[in-house]
Amino acid sequence: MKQVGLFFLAVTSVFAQDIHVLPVQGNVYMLVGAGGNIAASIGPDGILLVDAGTSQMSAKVLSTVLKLVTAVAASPAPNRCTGLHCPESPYRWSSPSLNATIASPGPPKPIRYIINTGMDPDHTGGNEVLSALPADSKILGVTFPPVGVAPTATVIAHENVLGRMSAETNGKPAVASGLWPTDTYRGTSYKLSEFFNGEGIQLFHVPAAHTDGDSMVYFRFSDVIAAGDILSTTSYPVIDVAKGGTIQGALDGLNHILDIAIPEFRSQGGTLVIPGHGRLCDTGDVANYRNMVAIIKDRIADMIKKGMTLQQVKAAKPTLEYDGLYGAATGPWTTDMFVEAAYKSLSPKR
Amino acid sequence: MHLHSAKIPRPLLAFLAAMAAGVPVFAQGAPVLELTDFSGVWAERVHEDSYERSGGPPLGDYQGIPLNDAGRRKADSHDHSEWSLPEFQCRPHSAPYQWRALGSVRFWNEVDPIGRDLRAIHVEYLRSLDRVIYMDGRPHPPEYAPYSWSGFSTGKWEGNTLVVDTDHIKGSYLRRNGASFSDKATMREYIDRHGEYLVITMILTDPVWLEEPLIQTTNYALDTHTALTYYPCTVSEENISSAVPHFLPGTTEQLKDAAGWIPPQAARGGAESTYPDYREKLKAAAK
Repeated sequence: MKQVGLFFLAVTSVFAQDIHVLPVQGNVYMLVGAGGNIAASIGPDGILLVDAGTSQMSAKVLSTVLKLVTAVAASPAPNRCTGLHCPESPYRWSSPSLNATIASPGPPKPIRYIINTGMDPDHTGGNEVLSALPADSKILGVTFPPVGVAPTATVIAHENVLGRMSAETNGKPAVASGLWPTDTYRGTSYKLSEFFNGEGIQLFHVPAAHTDGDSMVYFRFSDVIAAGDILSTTSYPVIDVAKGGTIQGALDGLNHILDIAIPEFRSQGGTLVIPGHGRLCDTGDVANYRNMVAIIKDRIADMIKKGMTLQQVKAAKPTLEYDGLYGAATGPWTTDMFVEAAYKSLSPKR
Repeated sequence: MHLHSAKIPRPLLAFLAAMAAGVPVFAQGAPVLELTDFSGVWAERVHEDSYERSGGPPLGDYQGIPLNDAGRRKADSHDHSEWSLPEFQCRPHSAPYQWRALGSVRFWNEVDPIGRDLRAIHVEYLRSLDRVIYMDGRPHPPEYAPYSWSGFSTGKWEGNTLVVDTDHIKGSYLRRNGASFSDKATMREYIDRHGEYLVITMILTDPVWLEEPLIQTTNYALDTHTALTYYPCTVSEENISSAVPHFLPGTTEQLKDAAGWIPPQAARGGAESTYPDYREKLKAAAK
């Protein structure tokens, strides 16, 4: 009850800042409004973020997650420990719990990890600000970094993210070094070497999907998957062919999510999936989205097989029934761009 | 006759007037009156809904559904084998389809044990999820909250009619042959009890796949000698292709089935085909 009340306070204040917080399940919260969706593990070990939003929103993201961790892990709790109801103490002695109620709470732990699901600025733009907490500064009345805690967060991504961010053109990297991941992995999966907030966290590489550097992150106790940009409830999957993306890779990634996810009952609930953009999903939503991608891929592949040109494919409207859900005529990812990317990635390589 | 001359005590007169106006007279400082109690198990009548029961309509027959071109494409691409997908083998009926699906329905009230106010009305169906209609005035969730097959429903009384508004519904089938509604659909239902009969009037609005709202009514009768039975479901993943079953545009041979007994253009659905005038248009075209 305490956490619900405190959380409500946190959410109320957060809403005024245009960052919306949705408690997902277990340790995980979904932050909406910072560019790409952010998954946040909040608890006694501190904060782990999956993605960092845009650089413009990083101050608001930082404020939001610090309020959250203060409410969840560093606020006074009612003392429920007296006599026989005090299992924390082998001596049935309630002082430790009582102290936690009557004394000032211990400080919350800061952001310890940021995991990037991809390399786009709406997911990595906040890396520098969020990972480099100012030394000895007071944030929300708490001094960071606390004694014994590393002063910066570790930023983890697939090695192709670092490769593309640091690739130089005319002696200048594609992205400023402050935004680069500090740690990378190159295998098909990667496990954090220790539990964080009481659970194991596993990354899976999603090869050749949105780009060639996508990861999805699985919180194994909370039973939440942060999918990154291979899943969006507001657009067709963004396929950056120039950076190694393919529609088949996006489809394989969606099937991988469905392999891991277990619905609670009748294709609903159970494992929850945070998309790169849009609303919180479960097995049923991912299956509907996967079916859409598979059907459009099959149609475009069939048209290519028949020798149709890209213009002919566009004219045949292979996405017609889904445009009202995921299509766009303007903006950063239009229906035309999606069809073109799918067409290119399905065409035989010359 | 003037009521004043009938020697009715004034307090009783006020009570009767309030009752006649449908005003909950005990509302102030006392339990709120529940205008209609739907509690119990209700059995389908198979009247106007008969077309959707048992074998169901043939592939390609969308009569009565105001599909737009996108909705028609969606339906035409449907392959019933999609039920073989592991994620869909235990997929429940969604709220908009459920009223005309197989099986009875059970209503029960969730009442605060102290205040006796009606928190929610629960609706359960044979093979679907428990559907909750919140009656406590709570708001609908934000757009980024998860969707469910039943959607998120709130109810209010208009006289003795329960009016239910639902959103956050996962996109699903509207008819077994693939006519569908999208995630962007919203639904209003008017639920009326006439003695031992129940009438549900559904208005489904979908800006993606419908030209106009779909309006349909379904009847149920109170059945005091039945109960919803256990309906288990097990996913079997053996011998199933990893492909998503569907028909490429223009290749759905089964669409011809629908044209066998009604004019082909009527089977294609659309807003125009849902109005009585459409019959005259068909007759004129046939001459």
